[in-house]
Amino acid sequence: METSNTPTMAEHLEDDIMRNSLKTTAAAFMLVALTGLTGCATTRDLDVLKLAVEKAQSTADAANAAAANAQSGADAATACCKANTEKLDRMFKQSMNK
Amino acid sequence: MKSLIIVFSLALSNSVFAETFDLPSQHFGVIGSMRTVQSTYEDTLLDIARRANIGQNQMERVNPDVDRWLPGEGTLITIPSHYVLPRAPRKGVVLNLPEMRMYYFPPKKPGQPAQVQTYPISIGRMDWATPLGMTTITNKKKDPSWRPTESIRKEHAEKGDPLPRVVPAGPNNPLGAYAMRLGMPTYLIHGTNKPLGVGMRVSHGCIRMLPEDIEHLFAQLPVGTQVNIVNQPVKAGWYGGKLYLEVHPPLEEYPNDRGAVVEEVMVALDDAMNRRSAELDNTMIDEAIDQRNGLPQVITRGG
Repeated sequence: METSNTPTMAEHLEDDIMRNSLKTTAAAFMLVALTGLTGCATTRDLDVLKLAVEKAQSTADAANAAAANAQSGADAATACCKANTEKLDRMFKQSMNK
Repeated sequence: MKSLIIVFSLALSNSVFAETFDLPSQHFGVIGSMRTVQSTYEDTLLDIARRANIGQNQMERVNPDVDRWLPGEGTLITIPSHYVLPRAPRKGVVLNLPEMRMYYFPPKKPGQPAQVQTYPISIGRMDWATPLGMTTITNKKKDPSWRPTESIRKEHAEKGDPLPRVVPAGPNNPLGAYAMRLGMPTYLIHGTNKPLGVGMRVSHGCIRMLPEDIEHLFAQLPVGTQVNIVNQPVKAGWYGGKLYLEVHPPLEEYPNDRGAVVEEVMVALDDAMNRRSAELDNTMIDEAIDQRNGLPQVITRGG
C-alpha cells in the first residue's frame, strides 16, 4: 500500500479550524486586555488614571489662572479708562475757568 | 444742489440761539419739549449742547450713557429743551442758579403773544458763588476791557498765571464782546472767549453767556432792566392738565441730602397746588427726587 506524507483534505480542514480557533482566542485576549474589561484594575492602571486626572486638573488650573489674569487686566483697563475720562473732564473744567 | 443743501443746513445749525416760546398764562408754567438728535462722526456732546442752546452740565446729566468726547456717529442724543418756569414774577430777567439758566420776559408787543426767551448760563464756582437777590442792569458795554479784581489777580498769580491790571477787548478777553453791569458791585452778565464752558460753574461769580446769546440779549435789554437771581433746584408747573416736577441737583454749598430736596419739593408743590388741586403720584415724585436730572416729569395720576 502506497503511503504518502501529503495531508489529506480532511487533515487540511482540521488544521485550518485549529489555527482559526487559536487566532480568535488570541484576538479576544488582546481585546480584553486593551479595553480593560477584565473586571478588576491593577495599581498601574489606577496610577495611569491618576496621572491623567492630575494633568487635566493642572490644565484647568492654568486656564483658570489665565482667565483671572485676563479679568484683572480688563478691570485695570476699565479703571484706567474711567480715570482718564475723569482727568479729561477735570482738565476741561479747569480750562473753562476764567 | 446737494452742496447748497449742505451749506444751508450748516448755516442753520450754527444760527440756533435763544429759544423763544409763547408765554403760557399765569396758571401754566411749562414751556418747550424734549427732542432727540443724532450725532455725527465729528460731534462731541459739547458741540451738540452749544448748537441746541443747552448748558454742558445739563447735557451730560440727561445723556449719562453718551461719551462726552466721542458720542459716535448716529447716537441718539436727548435735547432737554423742556422747562418749568421758575417761581418768580414774569418780568425782566430771571436767573435760576441751580439749573444754570436764564429766562428773559421781554415786554409784550401789541397784537403779539407774550413771550419768554431762555438761555444757558455759567455761574460762579463754589468759592466765588454768584449772589442771590433782586438787582438791575446799571450799565452796558460793547467790546469791554476786563479789569480783574485783586482777589482774582491773586488767585491767578498763585497758579503761576499772572494777570495784567487790564485785559483789553479782543479774543483773549474772557468777557467776550459784550458786558452788562449789575447793581451788585463787580458782577456782570457777559459773553465769553470759552463758549464750551457755558452751563458749568466756572466763573468768578459773573453770569457768562454764549457769544451768540449775549449778542442777541444785549440788543434787547435796556439799562434799568430788572434782574432777579433765584435759587430754585425744584420747580413745579402745570401744562395741559398735568403737573410737572423738575428737580436739579442743589448747588454744592447748600444741603444736598434727600431730606433737603424733599423740603424744596414741598415748597414747589405747595405753590403749584395753590393754583389747582390734583391727585399726585408719589412714585413719580420719588423718582424725580432720586434722579435729579432736571427733566420735567409728570407727577399727577391719570390722563
